[in-house]
Amino acid sequence: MRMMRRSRRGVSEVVATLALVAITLAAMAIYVQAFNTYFAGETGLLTGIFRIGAEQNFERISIAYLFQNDTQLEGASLYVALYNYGARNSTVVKVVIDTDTLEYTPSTINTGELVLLRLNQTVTVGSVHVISIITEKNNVVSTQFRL
Amino acid sequence: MSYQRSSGCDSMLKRCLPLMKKRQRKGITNVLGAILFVFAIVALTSIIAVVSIEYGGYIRSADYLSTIERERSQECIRFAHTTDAFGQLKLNITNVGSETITLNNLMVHNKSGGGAFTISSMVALPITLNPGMAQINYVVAGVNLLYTTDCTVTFVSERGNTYIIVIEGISIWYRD
Repeated sequence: MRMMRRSRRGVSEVVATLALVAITLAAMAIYVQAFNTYFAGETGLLTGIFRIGAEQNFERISIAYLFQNDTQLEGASLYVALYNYGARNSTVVKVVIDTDTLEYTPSTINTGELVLLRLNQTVTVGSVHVISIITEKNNVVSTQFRL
Repeated sequence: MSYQRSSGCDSMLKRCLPLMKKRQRKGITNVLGAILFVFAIVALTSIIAVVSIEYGGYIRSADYLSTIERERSQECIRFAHTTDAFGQLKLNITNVGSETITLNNLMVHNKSGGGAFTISSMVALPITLNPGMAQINYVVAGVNLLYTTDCTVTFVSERGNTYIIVIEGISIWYRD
């Protein structure tokens, strides 16, 4: 009787030990996977929402000045001076003027930097237009202007 | 005697078997319960820790956003000007806002001379004005009030506000 009881208790302990080892290995695998994901720059859904929102809040740019060359001249362009006053570097990916979307070659504006963007577009002088700057982090800066 | 012995053994077996079965089931249930409990605690703790860290970062960014936008809206500058005998423009810049202002960029758009546009970084020598302070006789290099002058001078503050001065001939417009 005693031997039977011992033998069954022993099996249960072995099962429990195996189960704990399995759990430990599974937990280690999950953590290794999480670290890999973290260092690869990937995030989960909820974490990603918070992180993207935070990055958007830290990115601040303002439209400082707008002008264009004489439209009679060849190669006349619209110029936009942008200033980055945020805590993150900003990359401009698209510019929308009135209803035209310009696919802009991405250009990065570092924190505290004032840059002049040249757009291959001209607008009519004397009328009001709207320009919107769209960044990589999906922030939009818009203003009305008249030249 | 032998009958009595066997009878004792049987009765003992009969009593022990349910106990053994009970113990066996209880032991496995306990292990499974512990496994599930440990798993649940580890998973929940990890998820809560990660999400709370990210949420904390988001809250800090929202605080940064509200602070910088509030300070930005409280920046205010007034200009006054004089010229010397050669028409050289000299500006008096007064901070009439409630925040310290740092002007760290200057843009000059010369519309009369082929549309030349220059950006002068003042980061090395910015104008920093505490509330109520004034910078007297600030010279904008290359800008003179002459009849042929047609240019726009723009100061950009550290917080991204712009202050524009329009000069046409000997006339000058700015916020006063």
